Amino acid sequence: MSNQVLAYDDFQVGHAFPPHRYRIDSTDADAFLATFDHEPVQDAAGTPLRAQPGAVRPVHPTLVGSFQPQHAAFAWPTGVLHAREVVRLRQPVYPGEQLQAVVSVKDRYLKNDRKFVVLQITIDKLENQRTAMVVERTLVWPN
Amino acid sequence: MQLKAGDKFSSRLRPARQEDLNRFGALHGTTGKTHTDPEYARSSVFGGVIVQGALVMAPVFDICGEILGPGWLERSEVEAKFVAFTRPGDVVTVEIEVMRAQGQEAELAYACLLPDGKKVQVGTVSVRAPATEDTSA
Repeated sequence: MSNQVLAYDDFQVGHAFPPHRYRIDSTDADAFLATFDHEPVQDAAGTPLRAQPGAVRPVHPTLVGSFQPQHAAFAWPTGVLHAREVVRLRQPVYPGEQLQAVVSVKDRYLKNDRKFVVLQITIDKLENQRTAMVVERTLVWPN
Repeated sequence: MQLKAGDKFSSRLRPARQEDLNRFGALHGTTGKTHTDPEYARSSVFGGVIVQGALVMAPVFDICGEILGPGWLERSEVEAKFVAFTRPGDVVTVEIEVMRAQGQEAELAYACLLPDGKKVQVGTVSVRAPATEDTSA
């Protein structure tokens, strides 16, 4: 985890932080799933959908694309808000797979006196060298 | 599932508890004091603990998976906008509408709403058709 707290002006568009390698084990994957749940999905007539479970449950995409690679890259001040997230899903990730995330600065801009930083996090599976997910995360830095 | 434009789906999320925020934050890396420190959060501009936007977004992914099937993890894009905050205990309902569907491609729009109708998160989900193998000679 980096201790380097970055201010808005520290972000340079195009900069990529050093790659961060990690894996998510089944204990953490299951613990993550236990933090939320939903009632059965219903259609407009109130008929519940039947879930289609796979043979092996992948790690939840929200955990794969978590903030942990950001923590490895830099620290941020109290008050940073999460405004928007675009997630491009390309490959499921299974517990124990070795991953590499690269955090880069896609954009930064001022709007309505607020400071926006847009990060891109590209997560690759090292075993097959394929991209599992790309996350575009917009954060609001405190003034 | 064969989808068509205008199809609607809904599901109610389990209200988040403080222990959910703490555990989710520890795993997800979102342990900001506004989520995990009630005393600090009360004195902050938010006036109390707010739930991580990603903790509201995560079950939306599961709901989409139930509607679209497991293949959606390989060829989808989700855009989520966190437009307002929720607090522990809030009842959030997710409403999803199919905007376009053709073959194995689809575009959905979703909104997460509080009981008074206030939107706390809105987004879109688009699914591409699977890539086809080139079998030409």
